[in-house]
Amino acid sequence: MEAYYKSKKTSGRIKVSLSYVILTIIAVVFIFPFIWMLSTAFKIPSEAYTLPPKIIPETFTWDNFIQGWQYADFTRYTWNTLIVTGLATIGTVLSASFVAYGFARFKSRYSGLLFTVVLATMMLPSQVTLVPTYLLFTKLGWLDTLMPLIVPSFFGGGAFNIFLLRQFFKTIPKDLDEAAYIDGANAFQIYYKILLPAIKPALITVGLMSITFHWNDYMSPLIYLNSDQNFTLAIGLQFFQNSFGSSQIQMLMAVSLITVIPVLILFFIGQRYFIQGITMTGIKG
Amino acid sequence: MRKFSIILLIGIFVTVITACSANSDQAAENSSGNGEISGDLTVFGWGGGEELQSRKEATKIFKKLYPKVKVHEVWLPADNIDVKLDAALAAGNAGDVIMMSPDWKGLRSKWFEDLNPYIEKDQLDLEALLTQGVDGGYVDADGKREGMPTTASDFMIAYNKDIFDKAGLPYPTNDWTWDDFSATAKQVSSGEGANRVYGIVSHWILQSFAPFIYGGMPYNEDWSKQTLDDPNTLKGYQLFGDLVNAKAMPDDAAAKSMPMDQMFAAGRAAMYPLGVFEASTIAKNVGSNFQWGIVMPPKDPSGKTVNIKFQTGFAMNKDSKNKEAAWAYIKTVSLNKEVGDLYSKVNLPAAKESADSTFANLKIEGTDISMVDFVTGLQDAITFPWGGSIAKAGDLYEQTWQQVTVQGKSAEEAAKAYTSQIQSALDSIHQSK
Repeated sequence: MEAYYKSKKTSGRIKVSLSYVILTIIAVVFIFPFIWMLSTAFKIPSEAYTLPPKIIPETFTWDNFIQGWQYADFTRYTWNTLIVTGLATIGTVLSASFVAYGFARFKSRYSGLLFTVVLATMMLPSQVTLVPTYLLFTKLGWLDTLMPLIVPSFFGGGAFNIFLLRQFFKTIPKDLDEAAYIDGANAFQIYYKILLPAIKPALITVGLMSITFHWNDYMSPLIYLNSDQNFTLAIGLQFFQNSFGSSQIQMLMAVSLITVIPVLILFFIGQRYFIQGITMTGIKG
Repeated sequence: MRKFSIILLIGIFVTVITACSANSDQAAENSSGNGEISGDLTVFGWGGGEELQSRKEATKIFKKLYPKVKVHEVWLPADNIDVKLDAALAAGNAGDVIMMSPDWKGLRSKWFEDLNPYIEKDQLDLEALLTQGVDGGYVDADGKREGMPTTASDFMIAYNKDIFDKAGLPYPTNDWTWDDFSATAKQVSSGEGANRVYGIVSHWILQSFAPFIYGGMPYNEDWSKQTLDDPNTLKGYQLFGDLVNAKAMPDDAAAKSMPMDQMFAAGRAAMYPLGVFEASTIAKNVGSNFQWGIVMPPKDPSGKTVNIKFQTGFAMNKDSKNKEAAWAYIKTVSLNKEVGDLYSKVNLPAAKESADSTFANLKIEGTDISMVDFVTGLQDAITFPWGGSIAKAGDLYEQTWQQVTVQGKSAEEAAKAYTSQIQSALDSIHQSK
């Protein structure tokens, strides 16, 4: 019997070790581009391209960070990106959860159709809506301001986020709403005081996705911004590349490294909720 | 005698005063000419690195010359700029002066002003003022001039001497043919998988070379008929399909695994087509990793070197509210010597005076390669063939290229699938004109 347990224990250990080895290999594959970025950021230009690539630079330099940061007004770009990302994320989380609450809890003859229409917007190529939205923002006088990058987030927050949160709301028993209703809460109070705290992981998930999206978004700032003083980091990083595709890779990597750090920290802080948010979404349809 | 001396003195005095007054009048005219031009002007352009820096510096020179013009500058990254410009042009706020290339939204578009009347009014002799070879493609077949050049460059093939030495092959020379090129690319390739060293990188310009390398063409001269199915054109496409099949050029997956400039600089490809605009970047990146040289692109069967030229210029928006200032800007960045000297650092300047002096003496940083070597064939080079009104047909040519180099189809098969669509796209240019 003891031998049986011993062999089972050994085989369990082997399985665990094996899975760790496989996971480590996968992790190394996935982390390699980041390591390469980190390493290139400290290299002189000719060393960035040696073959086979050297992880540890022979000539270690900080110049890429200094020159790269001074190459354009990255301090201002960072500030603009923080404003856009912060406000757009607040807008996304608030409005997406509000719309999702409506779809999850209120039924009407047209709610199914409306939800399909919302989901259908995900299929719409951005090129189709580009000129009309550009014209709209031009007429509103919002061109070359941060408004087009922030305000739309307060009007629904995106079909995917609505879908994600609606699914989450549906996992919460309606009894909670009814109990609150009996206690005198109105629909908004139920949403705000009862349901929102209950879907915290999903809200954090949506928030993290929104932060990542807005932090890295290149197309919207490119379309709606014109002045250097309004540019975001994603635009600034592209200036390292000339119109024929070649780039000053070491400076690009150095500044990219700086700009990726805040998102990385936020992700690590919120990853527990992120995983929880994603895994619990599909529990109840 | 005394009387004569007095008259002579008075005469000299009057002459000097008149001359001075004439000079100061001329100067005043020039000065007031520049000073009279005023109002707001929006300049819309794109790029990155030194190239963009030189555009910004050129605008500073314009501001100095035209102090009463308030210039609003819109400088954006080049990536996806066409999407932005499409929206801005449609909304009517794309700026007064727009950076353009003859290959990109240049000819036969409805957005740009005809610049001929402005040139005539200023009595500019462009042949005397512009560097030979930079001006091609800005004038439409019906004579409308849609832009003025600022810079240009054609292509050279950079090669890694170490890889050639290792393969025991002589370095290519300016009289090589495309058959030589193909054979060389295959012979210098070696290794497998992640260690594969390719003959040539998968560069976006090769698609533009393909139709011409055996004397073919993608379409006829007035763009009325596609000639993709011409045997010589097909042979050109097939050469690159064969290179991919022979693993002398990276396939789609390999090409996406590493940017092409890195592939060359890292010694993963023996050859790299490059223009003067990126030569100094490549020189810095290669550093002392290996020895490299440049050679002209190979010749077609008639003995003519096949080359593609890239030109950048500025056009005037037809809807500009300040066309006088817009023309002044275009004229300055195209013809001014000081601006030309600035541009010399990154490309061949349009201003002949600068090209003949400043540019002629420059070398690629960190190398013995003269900048002039890069533009030797500019005059005979073909203007990038897929832009402007050709763009829609150009997308289809691109798809044909991908069928051959990505999907592995023969050039003939690919052409069969696309010729009728391309013909329709060409027809639509003439219908909409």
